[in-house]
Amino acid sequence: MFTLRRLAIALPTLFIIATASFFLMRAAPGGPFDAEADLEPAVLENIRAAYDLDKPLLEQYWIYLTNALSGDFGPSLVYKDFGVNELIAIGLPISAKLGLLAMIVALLLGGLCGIIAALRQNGIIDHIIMALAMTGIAIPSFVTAPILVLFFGLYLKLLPVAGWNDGAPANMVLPIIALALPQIAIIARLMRGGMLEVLQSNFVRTARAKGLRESHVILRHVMQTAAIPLVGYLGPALAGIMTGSLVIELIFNLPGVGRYFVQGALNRDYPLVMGVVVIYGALIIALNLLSDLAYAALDPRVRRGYR
Amino acid sequence: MPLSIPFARKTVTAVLLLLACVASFFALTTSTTFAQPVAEPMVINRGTSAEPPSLDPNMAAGTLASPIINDLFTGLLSRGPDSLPAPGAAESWEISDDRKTYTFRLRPNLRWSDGRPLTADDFVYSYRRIMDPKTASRLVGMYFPIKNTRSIMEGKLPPESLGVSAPDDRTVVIELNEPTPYLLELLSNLQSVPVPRHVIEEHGSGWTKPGVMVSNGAFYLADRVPQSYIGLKKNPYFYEADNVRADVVNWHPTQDLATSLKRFRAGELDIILNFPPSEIGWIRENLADSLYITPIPGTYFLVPNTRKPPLDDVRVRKALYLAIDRDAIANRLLKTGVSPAWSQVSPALSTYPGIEMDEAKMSFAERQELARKLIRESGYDTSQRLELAYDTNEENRKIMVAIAAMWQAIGVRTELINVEFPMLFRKVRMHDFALSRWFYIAPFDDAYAMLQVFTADNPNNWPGIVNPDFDEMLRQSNYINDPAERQAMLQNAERELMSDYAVIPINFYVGRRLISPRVKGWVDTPAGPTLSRYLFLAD
Repeated sequence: MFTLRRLAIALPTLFIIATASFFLMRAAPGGPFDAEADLEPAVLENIRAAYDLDKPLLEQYWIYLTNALSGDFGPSLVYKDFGVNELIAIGLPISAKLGLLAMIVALLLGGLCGIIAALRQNGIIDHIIMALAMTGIAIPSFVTAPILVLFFGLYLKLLPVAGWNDGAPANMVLPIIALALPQIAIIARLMRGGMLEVLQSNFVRTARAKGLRESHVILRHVMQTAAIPLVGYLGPALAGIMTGSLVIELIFNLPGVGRYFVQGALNRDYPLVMGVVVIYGALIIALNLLSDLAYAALDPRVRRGYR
Repeated sequence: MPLSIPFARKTVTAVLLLLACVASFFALTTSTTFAQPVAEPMVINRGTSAEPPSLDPNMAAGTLASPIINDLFTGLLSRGPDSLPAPGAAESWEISDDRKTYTFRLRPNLRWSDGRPLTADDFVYSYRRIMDPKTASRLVGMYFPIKNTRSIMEGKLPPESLGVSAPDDRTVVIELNEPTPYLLELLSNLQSVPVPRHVIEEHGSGWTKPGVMVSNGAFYLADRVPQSYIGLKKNPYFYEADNVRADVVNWHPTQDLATSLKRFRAGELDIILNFPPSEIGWIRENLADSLYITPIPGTYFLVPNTRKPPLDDVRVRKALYLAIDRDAIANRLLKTGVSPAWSQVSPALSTYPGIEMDEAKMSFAERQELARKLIRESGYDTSQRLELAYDTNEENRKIMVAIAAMWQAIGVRTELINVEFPMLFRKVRMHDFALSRWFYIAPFDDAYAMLQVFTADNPNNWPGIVNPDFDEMLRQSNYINDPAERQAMLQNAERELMSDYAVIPINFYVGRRLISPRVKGWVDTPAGPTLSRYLFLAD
């Protein structure tokens, strides 16, 4: 019931996202062919006609909507050798793979750091971990990524400097680290916060009073509850990290979809932007749903609220 | 809480084990990926600054796609090892006495990369395809010298009426509206390449996909991942395949200049055509044997809107022109190899001598004094702020701030407006600006290419200048047969343009390239990057 209700809301949400971004995109000043030199007015007219851009806005919207429903986002106005579907079909798996792996690394390392910091609250280890985490959050990836490249790529010559190389593992290591670093920091802080709150609660004291082994208390009772804030964060974060990052893609020269959000918008490549926005919207809705389901599984109160 | 130590230790062990699993997975897959075949093919890795908009020669515009398409396709004319025009698919040609008909004789036994015969009809098909309004090609403007181009583009005549014909399988005839002295230069770019009718008619717009695309150049398209690389392989059917030494040429679109430089340093790229200008000092010290700096035919300038006050007054434009210390900008501020530009047409063009401006001989103090006088005489309101627009970029910002300071000294206050490039382009095209940074790179190697954009009816005419004398001189230059006389006429035209101060040149561009010492055959000329067919690797 809970799942069905959430699914029923998802589709109209996606429709609203698509509609709003279509009209916002068209309302932005400038057009897709602004940056092309040498165009005679008649040539420009021919080009606009070829992409249906000479039609009234509502008709364009209708064309877009009917095509999108049949799963076709149309041709890219800038990358003329590819359809938007193709660009996303090539780029999204790459971004998703890197994002997912980065998130796994971040969960393992960040979760571990958070737990250790919480168990050592206000100790030296806690302070060190939290200081590192703050640094991790504060330093942007356009600083860390080039440093990683300089050190591991140019100085130690251990790993390739950039490029995708058809997904060779060596080419993925540095981008994954660069993507994971800020996530490790955020996850460590969330995990630590959740743990500290739960460690003080009555049921933990009861569990300890009953003489349960500490590892049992932590694993069975504390961690499950402490992970709840983290689960809420993971849904949108995963959607974000899986749809790529412009900065990481530019620095590592990766063919992901992250760049299409920014450059598509700057180039006024309407179909491309609409394509990535809808995909991102769908992903974020799906992952939020998943994270809510996980929530419900971890916390019975959420489940009951919907009954 | 000391009791949690065993637990923490267990978790650490578990996480380390997991990470080890991930690492060993990488290690396993790595060993298979890097297995080397027995005979190693010669692979040249070339960088390019961004993903080209298209590999379809009839569609692609601009300098991004041209070098790649020139590897894939060969026109009637091509380029030699020095990048100057040379016979391509045509082995010879004749020009009629009125210089309005060119007859090209194709080499015998030309073939497409799928082995099918290539005939004169394929050239005609390509030209008609560009002109067809349904193709919506951006390149039509380049073909206006050819008979009936304009009418076909406007839909008044069918594509078949174009002045390009094939009387037999090995003859291509091009008829022109009026003599066009730069035609051969034009045709040695992408303006005379054939496209494979048999593939396009079968696959439509999908014909540029690897595995589908068929071409007639030294290489064919083997592989492509957008934003990652464009893989070309040697075409065994190319007419000079025996002289092509590289087996594979991979073009890597690398948008971030810093990444491009790092990839070059790591040996991942053998050739890069640009790098961050700020790194030039470091490169001169550390990569001197790879660095090539050569003027290219392009100009960095300011364009005043001559249709709106206050810049409709030539005295104000001249004052602004005078009060810029070009030497300081090129040699003290930028130090990137660019040279100060006093006139509009780049001296890097192979046939044009350029012009000398009297202002260049004056001292900066003299120029400032004259500028102040002109500002006073024009009645320029020094309390207003003159809007100077530029596109977001660190180098542009530096130059604009310097210019604003130089103008402050003659009483002209400036307001810098910084916008994204497409926005700037739109502003300039709509004439919605007072003064804007601008640039132009000659699309072909002739002064006419850089001057024609300022004729009254040209869609580019950014300053909106109308000077019938200038237009007439340019037109006349096309009827002059003697090359020296023609260049003199073009010089006169440029002087006329500069006498209006319709542009305020700042500096002439240079090409900044890094070529690995193991790449042989590179000839760094203003005419363009060397075609891959002339390159090879040797240690």
